[in-house]
Amino acid sequence: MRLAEFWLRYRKSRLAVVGAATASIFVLISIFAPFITPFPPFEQHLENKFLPPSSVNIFGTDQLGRDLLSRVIFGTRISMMIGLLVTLLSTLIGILVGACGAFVGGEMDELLMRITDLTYCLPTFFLILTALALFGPNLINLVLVMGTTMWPVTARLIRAEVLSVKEKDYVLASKVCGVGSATILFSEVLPNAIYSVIVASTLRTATAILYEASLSFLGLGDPSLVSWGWIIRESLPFIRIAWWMPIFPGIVLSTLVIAINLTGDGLNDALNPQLKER
Amino acid sequence: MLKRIIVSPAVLFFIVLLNFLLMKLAPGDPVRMFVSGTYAPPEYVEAMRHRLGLDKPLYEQFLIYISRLVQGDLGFSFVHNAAVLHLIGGRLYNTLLLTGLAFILSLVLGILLGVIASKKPYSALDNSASFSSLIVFSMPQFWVAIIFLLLFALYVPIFPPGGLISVGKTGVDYWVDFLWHLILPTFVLGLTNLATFVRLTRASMLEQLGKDYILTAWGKGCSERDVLYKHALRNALLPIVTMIGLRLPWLLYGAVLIETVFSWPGLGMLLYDAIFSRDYNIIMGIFTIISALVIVFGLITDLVYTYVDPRIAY
Amino acid sequence: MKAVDGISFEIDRGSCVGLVGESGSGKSVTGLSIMRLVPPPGRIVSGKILLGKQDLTELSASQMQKVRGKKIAISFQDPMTYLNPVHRVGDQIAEAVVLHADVGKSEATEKAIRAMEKVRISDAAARAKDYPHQMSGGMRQRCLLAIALSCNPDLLIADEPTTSVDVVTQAAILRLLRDVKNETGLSVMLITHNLGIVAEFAQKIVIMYAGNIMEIGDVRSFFHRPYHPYTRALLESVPRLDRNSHTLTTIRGVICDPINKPHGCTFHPRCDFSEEICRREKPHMIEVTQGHLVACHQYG
Repeated sequence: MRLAEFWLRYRKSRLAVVGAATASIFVLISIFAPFITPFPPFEQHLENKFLPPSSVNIFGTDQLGRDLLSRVIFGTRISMMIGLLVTLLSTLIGILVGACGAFVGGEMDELLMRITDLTYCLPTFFLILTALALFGPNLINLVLVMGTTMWPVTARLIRAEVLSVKEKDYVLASKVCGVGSATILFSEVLPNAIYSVIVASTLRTATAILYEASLSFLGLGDPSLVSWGWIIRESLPFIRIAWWMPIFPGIVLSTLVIAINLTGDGLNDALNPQLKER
Repeated sequence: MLKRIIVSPAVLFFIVLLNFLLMKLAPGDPVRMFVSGTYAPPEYVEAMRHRLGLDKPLYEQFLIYISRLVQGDLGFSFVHNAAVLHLIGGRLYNTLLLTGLAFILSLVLGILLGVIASKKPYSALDNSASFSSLIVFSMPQFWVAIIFLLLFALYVPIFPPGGLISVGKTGVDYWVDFLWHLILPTFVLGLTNLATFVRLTRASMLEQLGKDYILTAWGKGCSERDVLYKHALRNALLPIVTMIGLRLPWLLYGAVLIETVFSWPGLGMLLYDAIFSRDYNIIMGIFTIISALVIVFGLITDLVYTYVDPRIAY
Repeated sequence: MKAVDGISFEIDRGSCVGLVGESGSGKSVTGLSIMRLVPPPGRIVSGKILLGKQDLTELSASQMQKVRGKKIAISFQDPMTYLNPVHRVGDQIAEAVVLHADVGKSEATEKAIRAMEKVRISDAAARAKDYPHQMSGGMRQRCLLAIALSCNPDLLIADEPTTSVDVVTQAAILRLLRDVKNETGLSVMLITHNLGIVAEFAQKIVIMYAGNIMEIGDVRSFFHRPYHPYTRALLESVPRLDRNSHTLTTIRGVICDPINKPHGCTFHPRCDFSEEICRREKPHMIEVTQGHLVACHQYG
């Protein structure tokens, strides 16, 4: 599908466009964070603690007088990084496992399918939680554990696609011409499979971001990083006197996740031929 | 169904193995937990290590681990000074109650709303319902809990701000009080999981409503109500039942977060405290129990499915 | 896009009208619209459906529900998908009974079993407890007919009742329909593309093409002397054993695009006799002999 055609189809849903635009804004915010924060996120002004939202501190201040807006802006970096890295890793593993199994077939396929199924029925969140608790809640561990547990959906998608395309005529024709298997895989099979994978990956980004926030909220976040979940966790003892402390980070987090989900839905409608025309 | 019965123990075994490996791979010496802070002579450390069986070969340790598990020994919590199983057992009921009620709430309401949405797909009502369920689904569950806590327990004190019961009530008052405490967390957990069932039901219903037997039903003179509920929903429920089993981990995940916000004394709070106090045995124990719950629930779901679909002969 | 455009015909009590046409001719839609069951976004734009003196288009939804199944009943092709897979067959028939008669569940089940016996399902009482997937294709088709006949309707619309069954069952179903017709004075509208069963079973034939009626006539005279070029071509294309032909005759061209129908007479691009007027004007139905109508400029 050409880019122009894709954009035309995607544009049909206004919500999807708004979602994509919002997500892009978040990306920009996370990149340019140090330049746009009004205050340094770790700077404490104990004389200013628990200030409600004002023109100086748009989101108010927290229990140590730190500007909440700045902290939330920096939190964007964490979420975006987690989202992107986890998605990349899990999609990569998923493609490898799925394509390998489908292409090679036989016992290897059986084995990989079993592993995929097993990983799929694990209670993911709790596994990540346990692993993080044991190995230490830093960014690398987080990305690794999430990436290595969230790939089964992609693996299944890829495997199904590869299997369906494997026997198709144009693949056999290529083989007859002497084109190597790997080349066939990359040039013929994957481009078709990639659409559903893109959609699945987008939605997984949202899940990863929510997971990270939840883990930080429970105390398994990296304290040196300013994660939204961690901010909300810190606000718990003070919600009676400082309602802005949990509310604003939550609004921002929800907005990002909604934007990603809308984008994912929009991609789904644009990339997968649906009977949506009614 | 048969496949599930065979596969489930395998999955459970895999989880136990995973747990064990995680434990072994984790940095930090278990012995240090005993001797934390104080200086211990090397012979003492050695003796400790031998007593804990840490000098045995890995597979032997694993066998010991399994045998302990089977006997219900999930380890010991030094923070609480009690057996992990005992601690979990005490809290399990509260979590199951909360999760169970929320599950029923979100399932029943979700199906109802899904059926209504499928009556006029792509209408303004349907689109706005889809959109709002997307929004609720995208919000972190702990944050929704905080909002409800702020709104309905702190600023407008209709409900208590957490806990299981207030002190000093007896008899009927006790149960009323208990319910009063139960309402808000159950509602939040149900609300945040509602969206999935609405979407699922709607999609499943739309698929059924396009089928031929619906035309036969209309041709008989069935009313719209009959067609929707007696015919379409009955068939639409089948894929829904399949999906229910997969939803439990998500519900438990939500329960853990919401319990924390509402100080509901269940597994969630236990977990929260355990993370804070680095009580690893509890964390792993909870993981094992929850995995077992998920597997059992999957089996039950399969059983229900064979009962509900007459095409499956079992 | 008009699936059916300006058609009009009558069905006499106790007789059978065969509605014949290729796929896409609009015959099934005609049957559905009589029941006001056209699937959305389709709808009846204009016209009347007269059941006796009553115009069905004027009825409310709930009134129409009472007519469906009771006065007019419909049965479909391919019974596997037209039966609810999770309800027992007996219950599905009994449901129709309960909807239109004030009876209890057990009496309805009794009636259902009797309806099954009427359509010649052996061991009906036991079969009533079966699910559709446990039955053969022929039995399922009979069940669909049982549902339709269970409330003794005045008119049965049978949409391709024999298409998806084997020849032996086909004959049996036709026999049974004839017997029911003779016993109860049931009127039948038989929708099919099979000229053979129409010849055997119907009294009147209506030929449809691309949403229009081409010819209406009494069966005997029809086969003896078809008037419309389309009808003639249809009859000619049926392979015959008594003629020594090496090639099969077909109607040249392909069926027209339902969205872009030809101007004037819809059949003219494929007609060997088409003239200038056929391209410009749509022909009206003209009575060529007693009870025999044709829509063709040749006769007008």
